[in-house]
Amino acid sequence: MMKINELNRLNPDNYNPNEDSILVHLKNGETFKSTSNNIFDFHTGGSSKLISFLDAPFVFERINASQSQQSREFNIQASGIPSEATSVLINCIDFYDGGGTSTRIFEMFHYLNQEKTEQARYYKNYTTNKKKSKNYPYQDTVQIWMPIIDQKILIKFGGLLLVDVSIEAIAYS
Amino acid sequence: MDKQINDLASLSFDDFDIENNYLLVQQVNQTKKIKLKDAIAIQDSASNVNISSTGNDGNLITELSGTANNQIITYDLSSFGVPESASAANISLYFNAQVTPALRFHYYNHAQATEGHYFEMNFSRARIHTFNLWLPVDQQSIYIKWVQQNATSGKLFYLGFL
Repeated sequence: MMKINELNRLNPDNYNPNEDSILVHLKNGETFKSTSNNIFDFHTGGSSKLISFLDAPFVFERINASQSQQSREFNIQASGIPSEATSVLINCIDFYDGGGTSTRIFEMFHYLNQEKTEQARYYKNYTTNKKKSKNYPYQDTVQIWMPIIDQKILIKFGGLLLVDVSIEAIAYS
Repeated sequence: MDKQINDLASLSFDDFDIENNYLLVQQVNQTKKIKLKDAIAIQDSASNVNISSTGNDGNLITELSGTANNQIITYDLSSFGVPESASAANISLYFNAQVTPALRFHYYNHAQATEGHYFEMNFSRARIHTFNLWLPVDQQSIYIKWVQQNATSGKLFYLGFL
């Protein structure tokens, strides 16, 4: 009878994770064979998509300067994102159309843990060169991946000046 | 006496060594072993776990200006090696405009979608900027409806998939 140590090495080029069997030993003592693909599908909840886009954006809030320094806990359940998701792709569209030469600021922190001791910062500070006119706005879009913490996105707005930003979920993973 | 499978102790997570541990693999009429590291790499590749670049030239649009037509355009990524299982594409959008730059477009989950997601950029002075975006992939393609392009020049590059 051949022992494990005596088995030949399998050339990786000949390994098929969809067809080759590997042994799975259960806690109750039973042993079955499965495939690596099946185990991976179980691990990922059977979803073949690693990033899933919502059919339409889910707008959490549209913010302006009056929300400066405010905190938010956006619950993801209403957005259609499943509870198994671990992160959300947030689309931030600045629709501000006021133009002008004044300084504009969009500062936003998102927390990386429940205790809010770790955070990431998104910061834009800019001016334009035209007198105040709706013909010369500065509008912009940025995508930011944020972690889901206890089914929530944890955000604190920093400085907000002359902005009109839609904060919306568009995808998850 | 040789150990039976039932007699084996469980390997703790901390003791996994992907360089020196092996998985037993049963194929037709033979059993072999494969290094855990190799098995994981093959599984990652099969499952698109990592952001994958195909290594091909991903130039989707060489001249951005003038392609706005308010219809959903399908950009087939299959020639870049994007597999059917891909769920999203990473896109680089290079934009160069001398006067009142503007760029607005919708992107969709599939060609027949009636709702989608939105990108908007508008500025009052000359601007050169590169945007990096994730777009949904369906049937190896991305779907964009250009609404407005005020650009001196611009390019849309495919970078990778997940």
